[in-house]
Amino acid sequence: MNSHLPYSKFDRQERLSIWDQSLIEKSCVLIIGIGGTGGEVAKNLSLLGVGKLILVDMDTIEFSNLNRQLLFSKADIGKNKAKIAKKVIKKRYNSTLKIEAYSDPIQSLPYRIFEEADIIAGCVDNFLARQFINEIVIELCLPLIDSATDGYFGQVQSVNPRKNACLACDSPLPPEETRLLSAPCTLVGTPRIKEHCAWKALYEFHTMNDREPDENSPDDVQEITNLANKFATDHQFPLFDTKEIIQLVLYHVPSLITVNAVTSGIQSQEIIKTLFINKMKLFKKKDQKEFKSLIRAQRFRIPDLTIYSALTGNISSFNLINDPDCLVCGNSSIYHQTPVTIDVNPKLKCKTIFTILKRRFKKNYIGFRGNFIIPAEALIESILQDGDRITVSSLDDDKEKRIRIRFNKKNG
Amino acid sequence: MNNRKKDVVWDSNVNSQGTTSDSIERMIKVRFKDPQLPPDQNIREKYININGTVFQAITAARDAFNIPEVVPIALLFKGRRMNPSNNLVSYNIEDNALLMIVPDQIKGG
Repeated sequence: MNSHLPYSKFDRQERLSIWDQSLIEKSCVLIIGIGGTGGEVAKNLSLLGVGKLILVDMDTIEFSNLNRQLLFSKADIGKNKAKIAKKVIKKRYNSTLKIEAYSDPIQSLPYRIFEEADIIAGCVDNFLARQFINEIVIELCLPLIDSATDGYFGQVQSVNPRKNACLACDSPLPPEETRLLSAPCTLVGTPRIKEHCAWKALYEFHTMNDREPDENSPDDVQEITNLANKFATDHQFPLFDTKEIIQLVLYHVPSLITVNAVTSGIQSQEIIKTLFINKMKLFKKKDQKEFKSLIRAQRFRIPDLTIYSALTGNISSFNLINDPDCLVCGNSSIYHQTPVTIDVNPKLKCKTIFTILKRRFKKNYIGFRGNFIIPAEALIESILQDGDRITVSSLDDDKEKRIRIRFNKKNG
Repeated sequence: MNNRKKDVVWDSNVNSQGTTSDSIERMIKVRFKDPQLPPDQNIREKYININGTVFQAITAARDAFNIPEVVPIALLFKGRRMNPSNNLVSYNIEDNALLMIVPDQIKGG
């Protein structure tokens, strides 16, 4: 607030009924994916006065981002999106905002970052990341407002764990073409179909180069094609051409700044509404009653799914109910179980975790962080952090457990 | 009956008389709604085989609204996104049910 002005910077929004600026200022929003929609959401929330933003994106800024990602300029090409967004938002929109930026893949972020957030804004561009975020929010019982765009269409889905549908309810997530990747054994095991070779090649590319391939770089496309053809030859599948590789693993969906703006606007608004509803629980009983009657009178509602079509100009909203058989949020989901806590010395190798589990449960296990296998020979502290949770799958009976890792230098 | 015949989504189990056996096919009338269209044009009725798959119902929805195959769509029934490989019977769809047409999962960010 500028001290010589008679009103706050947020004066115009504070005039609204239901609005409570102090609630917004006490909130922390984790935004995953700082691209076309994520960058806009970060800008919107910083201007709305959210207290803390945590920005996560492992991608670097490309020339093709500049027509719609307004936080970035030509001078930023090649730099990390989250880090540049943090700098620009602080400088341009809200200098008092607390803001953290991470350039790591979400699968390797410490759990404390998710636990710190009041709500997660999912603005990622792939189903694998969306799947991981979905599992985290169900496990930690955090609200998620997820957005996606594709050409003229945008959609926003609100996930309120254990109350409405999660992203995996009733529909395969990821869909068929990317589900190949969700079976981690596909990446390390024998390819069963030709397409597995392309996914293995992409995984190999990530491992060797420690970055995302660039669809527009002939060298990157050729490198992945060569790797895929090596796997295809080894396992007697027909060879790939570069066009096939682009279609399979490097395809970028078409994107429009106008659709991003509408979608991120809807998403930001749903985030604020969800913060109001959730923070209301902290009110005194009398205030809660007043607030409830106010939101009823104003026909306040958080739709589960909102779809925008730039072709027709229509915005439609739907309610989604949860699937009791859903593997992520259904009745028998492992994410509803209290995780088994094990103490490990972070200086030891990851195989220690599986040795401890074998001793305790008399079974052989492998571990996963998201879709990635935890390498047994890696040091625990290089892969995991104190308080992190992982899934372990029994090699004996295929049953899974959630494990919470607690660092303890004496143990192991 | 003529209307019904016109709209029926026939599958390979239809017999030589053009009628269907109840044990294989049971045609019910459903209403597809495409919320992207103006209210007076956004509902179309179709007969679908309740013993068929959701994928067949999606094909019928495409047919009802002339939605080309390149546009990925999904169906919602009573707040549940219908899985294309499931059978329609698993959703307890009854005559005159309203099936909403929505874009299929999209991923861009």
